[in-house]
Amino acid sequence: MQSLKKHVVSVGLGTILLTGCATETVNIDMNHDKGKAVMGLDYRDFQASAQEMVESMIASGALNKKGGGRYVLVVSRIINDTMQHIDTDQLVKKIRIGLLRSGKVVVTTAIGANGPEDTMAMQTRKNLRGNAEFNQRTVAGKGNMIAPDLSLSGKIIQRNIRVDSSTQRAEYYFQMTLTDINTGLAFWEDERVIGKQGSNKSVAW
Amino acid sequence: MKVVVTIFFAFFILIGCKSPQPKSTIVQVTDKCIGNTISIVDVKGKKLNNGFMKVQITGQNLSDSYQKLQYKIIWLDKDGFIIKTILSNWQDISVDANEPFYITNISPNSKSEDFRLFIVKNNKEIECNH
Repeated sequence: MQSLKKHVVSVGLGTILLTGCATETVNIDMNHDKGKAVMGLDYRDFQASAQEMVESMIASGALNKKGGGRYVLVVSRIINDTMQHIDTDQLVKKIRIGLLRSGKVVVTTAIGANGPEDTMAMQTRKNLRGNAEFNQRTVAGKGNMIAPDLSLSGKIIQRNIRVDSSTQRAEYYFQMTLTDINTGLAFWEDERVIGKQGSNKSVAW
Repeated sequence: MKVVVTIFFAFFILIGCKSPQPKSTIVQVTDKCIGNTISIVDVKGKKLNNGFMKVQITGQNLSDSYQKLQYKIIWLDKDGFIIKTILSNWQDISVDANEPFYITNISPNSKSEDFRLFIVKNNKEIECNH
C-alpha cells in the first residue's frame, strides 16, 4: 500500500513538473510584436532598417528618372560583417519589395553579384534557342534583356563592446549605397545604427 | 410606408456596422488630437512633383519626462483603400521632455492621396486624420 502511494505521488509530481515547465507555443503578432529585444538581429531590426532605407531612398529623389519611367536596379553584394549567420535577403528582399511597389524601380534577376539570381530565366533562353522541340517564336530573342541603370550594395557591421563585468553592448550598422552604373557615382547612401545592451551571458552571434 | 421602412433599415445598418471603441483606446478623428501627455499640434501633407506625398506631423511632449512612442502611417488611395506597404510598419520615435517632436514621412507610391497617423503610448492609440 505504502509503495502504491509513493508511486502515485511520484507520477503526480512528474506530471505537474512536465506540464508546469513547458513553455506554451503561441503565434507572434508580427505587426505588433511586443516581445523582448534580443542581443542578436531579429526580424524587427531587418524590417525597421528596410523601411527606413526605402523611405530615405524615395525621399532623396534619387529614384526620379529624368523624363519619367522606371530605373532598372541590380542588387549587388550585401556584405555580412557580423558574427551572426545572416541571409542578407532578410533585408534586401524587403527593400526590393518596397522599391518595386514605389513604381520607381524594377529589379533585374538576370544578373547579380554571384551570377543570375534567376538561373532558370537564363537557362531557358540559352537551352531553348534553336531547339526544334520549341516554337522559336515563343523563345526569348537575343538583345531583349534590359541592362541595369542602378546598383544597390551594402554592408552590415557588428561591434561588440564590453560595458562592465556583467553588461555588453552590440552595435549594428546597416549601410547601403545606390550607384549609378553609367557614371559610377553614388546617387544615394544611408546608414542606420541599431544599439543593444544586455547581459554578458547573452550571445550576440 | 416603404420609405419609412427603408430609412429605418438604413439607420439600423449604419448603427449596427459601427463597432464600439475599446475603452483602452483613445481615438480622435480630428486634425488636432490631444492625448494625456502628448499633443499633435500640426499635420501637414503635400503632393510632390513626382506624385508622391510628403507628410510632417508636429507634436509636443507635455510631460516632464522623456517618452518613447511608436507611430505608423496608413496610406490611402483616392478611393480610400489602404495601400499595403512595408512603410506602414510601426516605427519608434524618441520624444524629449517638454519638447516638440516631428514625424516626417513619404508615401510608398504616387497613388497615395490621404493618410492616417497612429501613435501608441502605454497601449493607448491616438488617431489623427489628415
